[in-house]
Amino acid sequence: MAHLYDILRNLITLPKKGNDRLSVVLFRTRQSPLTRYVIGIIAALAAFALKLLLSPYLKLEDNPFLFSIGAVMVSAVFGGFGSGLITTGLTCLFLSYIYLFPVYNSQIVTTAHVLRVSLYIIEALGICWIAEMMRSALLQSEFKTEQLEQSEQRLRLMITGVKDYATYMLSPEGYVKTWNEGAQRIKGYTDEEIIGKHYSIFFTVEDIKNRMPWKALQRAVTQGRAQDEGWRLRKNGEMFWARVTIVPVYDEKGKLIGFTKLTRDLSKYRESNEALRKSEAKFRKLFDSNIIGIFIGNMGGVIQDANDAYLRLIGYSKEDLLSKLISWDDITPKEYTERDQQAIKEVEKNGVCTIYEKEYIRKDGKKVPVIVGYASLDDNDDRCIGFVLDISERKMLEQRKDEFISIASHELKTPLTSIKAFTQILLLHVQRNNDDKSVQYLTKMETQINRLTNLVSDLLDVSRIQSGKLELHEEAFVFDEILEDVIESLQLTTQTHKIICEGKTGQRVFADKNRIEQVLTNLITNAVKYSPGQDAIYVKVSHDTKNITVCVQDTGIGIPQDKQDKLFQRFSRVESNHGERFQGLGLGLYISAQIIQRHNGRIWVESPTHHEKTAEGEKHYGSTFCFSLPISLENRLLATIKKVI
Amino acid sequence: MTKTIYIVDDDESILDVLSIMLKEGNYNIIRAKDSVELLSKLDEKCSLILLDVWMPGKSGDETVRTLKNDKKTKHIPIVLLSALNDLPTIANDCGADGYLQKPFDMQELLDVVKKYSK
Repeated sequence: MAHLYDILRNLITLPKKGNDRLSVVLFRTRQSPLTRYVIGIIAALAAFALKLLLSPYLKLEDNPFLFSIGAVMVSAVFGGFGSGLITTGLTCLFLSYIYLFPVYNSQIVTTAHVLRVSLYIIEALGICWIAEMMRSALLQSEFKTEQLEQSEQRLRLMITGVKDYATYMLSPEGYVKTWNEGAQRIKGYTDEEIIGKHYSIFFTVEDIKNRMPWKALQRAVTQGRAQDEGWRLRKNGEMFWARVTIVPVYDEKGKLIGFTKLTRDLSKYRESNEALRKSEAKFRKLFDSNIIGIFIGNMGGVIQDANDAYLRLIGYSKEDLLSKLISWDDITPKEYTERDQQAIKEVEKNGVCTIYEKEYIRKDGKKVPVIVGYASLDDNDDRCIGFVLDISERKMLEQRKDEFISIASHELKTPLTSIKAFTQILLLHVQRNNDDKSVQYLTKMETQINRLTNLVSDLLDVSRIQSGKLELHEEAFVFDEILEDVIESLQLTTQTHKIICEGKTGQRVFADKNRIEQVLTNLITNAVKYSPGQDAIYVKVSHDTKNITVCVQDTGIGIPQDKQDKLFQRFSRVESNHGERFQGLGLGLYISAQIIQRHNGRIWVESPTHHEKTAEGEKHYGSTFCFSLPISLENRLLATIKKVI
Repeated sequence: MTKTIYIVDDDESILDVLSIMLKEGNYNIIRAKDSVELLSKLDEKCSLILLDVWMPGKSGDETVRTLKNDKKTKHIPIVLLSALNDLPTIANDCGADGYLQKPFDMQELLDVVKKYSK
């Protein structure tokens, strides 16, 4: 059988490139039934023709099925079992009709006749069956071979085309046998340059000294594979970080025929990994520096990680942290919940929040003042990192400073009280004696004492504003009344300017009377001070449904546009055109602005230009300082009722 | 009838100026350096007490509370004197009848005394 198979295989070679059309038709694994019938009929006709042609010469009357067996075989091999069957049937009918007695008659009349036809059919069927089996085996084998070749081709293309990996074969001794595109790209050698060279060429001198190339091969043999990471050399001498896998290859008898070596260049990966590791190390160093408290928490309020400084600050232990016992809500006093929510919204929107002051409740229940700030860790991460600074000491110092300023102010004012009182007594005394010169001196003295008193008060006010302790004693009063009082009182001591009031509001405001008087006094005295050589100050009052507005206008030196923004800051002072400085610490407008803001009012300045030189001389536009105050709710209600009625 | 005003301050110079100014207003003056001396000198002739806040021993606001809680003295008008900025709050909290911020003008003093004295 095997012999026959070989013969057939040699005779019938499967088409490889499709140039043999007949072979393609004949050996298609799945032929159409029509093809099979055609093959069967052609084979039968061929056998019949041969019989007719050769009968006169070979005297084949006694053996009518001689060529039929061959035809059946050919038909079965090329067309399969069905074809063979058709050929068998046709030859049987034709030949028995023509050549078997009685000739040209299809009737089977003799036992010999029956036996000959039956034997022929059995032989033909046997041949068909054997041919079919061989044909199937042959086709299957060829199909598998083709598949294997295609698979090898794909693998070869894949290996040679791989660019990120160097994939090549080594001989059992370690000499390079094959080379791919990736190997050339990574190592820099072309296949002509490297094939036949020992692979230790890729190792560093140090590694070669330690016999690493040979040890790796040995390890691959003993352990089935060898994996390693380390520095390797390119052709240009440059080192790169490689991950290498060596797998031994054996033939079917188990003999080592070489190694497959896979090398990946991990230099960039290692660099980025190293950068990441360094960055993480830096962060961890910062985190563990414990200069300030740092924590990582999620937006749900669970503290997931925290450094020792933070834990110390809130009085919790590392165990509490690991047990997830620290919740933002537990350590935050209720009054700060809203501010915290605001900060979280800011973080969600901008990735970072403005730092703010709050308090924590320590584990022991005590409160600790802190400054906090948060930033989100990543856009796709709901965690944020928080930085917390303990400001207990600063708060204590602030408290001490407040106490000191309060005491200092009190102690300064006490002798001032005596000096002022004695000056007034003395003034009374000299007035009674008609000593005009002394009256004049003592009046000036009293003015300076008042100035000193105001300075002390201003410093105290600033201190209170800074620490958020400026107290207001609000009450409802008619605004016009205090304005009249202030103007009247200031006019008594102002000889150079006439203070002219324009308009009336008739409105009540709910405010701290003394503080509003302080603001009015400050604006009017400033107007007088900064308009030397002028003779009038205008105080204009107006109101709408919500606010009253007061504007104090002078025709003085004015304020350059670029300095207007800073006017309401501490220690901000205005110079004259000639660089001349005016008296004062630059606190009055700051205090006034703070007082008005505390009353939910607004303060601003209008100073269109500095000054102009005209034919008549310098023309001053001056400044206008305005503030608005909300009309008291009671008044607004009355106004609304009146409108309705 | 001349009214008697008690003035209480640990600062001698303040006591001096208060005495001189109030005498200008025709008042009788009784001086005290602290609340202990005030309580020892206090009698029914008192028309008004001018009381400093920061004093050695009992403070001015505490003294007001003591006097206002005593049936015999609760009718006596008391005006607190101080350079403290939160004087209005202190006066209000302790139940004083009025307050006068230091430094003050002579006229302011005389107006306050006239307003509160009985």
